[in-house]
Amino acid sequence: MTDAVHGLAGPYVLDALGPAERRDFERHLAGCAVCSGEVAELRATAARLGAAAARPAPPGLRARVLAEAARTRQLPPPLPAARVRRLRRAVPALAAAACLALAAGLGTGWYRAERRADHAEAAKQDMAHMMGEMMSAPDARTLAGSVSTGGHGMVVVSRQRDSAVVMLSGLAAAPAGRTYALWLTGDGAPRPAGRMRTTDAPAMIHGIGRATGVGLTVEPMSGAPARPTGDQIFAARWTR
Amino acid sequence: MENAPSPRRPGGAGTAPADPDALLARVARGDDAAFALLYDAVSAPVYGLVLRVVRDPAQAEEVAQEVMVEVWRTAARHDAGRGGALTWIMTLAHRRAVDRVRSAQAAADRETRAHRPAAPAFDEVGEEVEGRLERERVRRCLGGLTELQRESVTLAYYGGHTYREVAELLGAPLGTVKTRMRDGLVRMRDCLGAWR
Repeated sequence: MTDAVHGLAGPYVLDALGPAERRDFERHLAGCAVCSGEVAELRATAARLGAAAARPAPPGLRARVLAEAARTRQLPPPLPAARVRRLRRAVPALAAAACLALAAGLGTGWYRAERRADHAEAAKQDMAHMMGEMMSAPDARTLAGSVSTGGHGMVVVSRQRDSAVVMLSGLAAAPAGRTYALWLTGDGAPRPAGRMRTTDAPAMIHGIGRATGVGLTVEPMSGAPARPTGDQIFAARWTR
Repeated sequence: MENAPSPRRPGGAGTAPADPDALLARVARGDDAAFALLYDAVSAPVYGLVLRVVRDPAQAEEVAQEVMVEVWRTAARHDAGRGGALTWIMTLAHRRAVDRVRSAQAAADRETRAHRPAAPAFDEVGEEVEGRLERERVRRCLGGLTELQRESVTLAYYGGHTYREVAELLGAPLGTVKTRMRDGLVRMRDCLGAWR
């Protein structure tokens, strides 16, 4: 679930890293949309810890702050850097793709986003609705981690919706003759939860049942083994 | 996935609730009246958190002033797509407070700090009525963490310790402390629910 850098999200949000580690993590963050999403979430939680310590500020502070602000020039809005824009768009784009995946859903199993225009057009409303349902589930949880062979994964899971969405970024296409395979884990034997050659679209897993995790392996294209034969290269776990 | 919930503090009785997000957007356009309102809305959380970390009231006041002026100065750089205004302001405040306790003066007595007692119990927080419900909720949720999660989170966040110092204080492996910090925050998030 974590590697050396990615595992620093908790200490980073709590400002508990030394200067060098903080810099390293921020460099990592700049290139990892999944990590920025996680950091933003954890930050909001940390902020609530902070706000719970609220105390009225000393009475003289207000006038001093306002006077100093009046003397202080404001920075202009940042120039839009292309890279920043791309990163910022990555998550909505993934969510939109996940909507496609949901709309293509036929009850059980997993579905890759299909970019076919007719699908997209006809089902757009429903998709947005279904994806919204998933994301707005009161128990929706986001789990993020590194893929051991490079790249990152993010899983949104809701027991109430009995579903999970798996989004992977930075993975190469599976080697010739092989495919990525998702597994539901944690409730007895791993159960197959979908296969895909490339990971550029989110995978929707419907019917997670009592599973408490998702794993990713690389498997032979043919044969569709009922149990994982490859090493687990990404795993996310949740508590029931 | 979803944007971080934008924290809002309840307004006092009879006043319209101040919305830090709307106010910050106005501050970003140079609206000084909005800045005064934003100060009223966030100064207590900012000052309280800084005081908690820095401990010395005179220094806390200085740091809180720096934070608020920084909010004014950099308001246009706040990216609303990445989180709410109060989250952003509290992040600035915490960072500044921690920088202060780790500055030259703090480095001199690093040895002492590493051996000072654990962060004070949550009960030491002041008695003002405003925000009491939220504080109760945070206290309750902290109580739901494992001891190691709770101590890892509070020693770092309220105590201003690095995770290495926390590991030393708790006699726990570095890797464990890192993980407990993240797990603790995740569990807090799940327990606290949306902040509205």
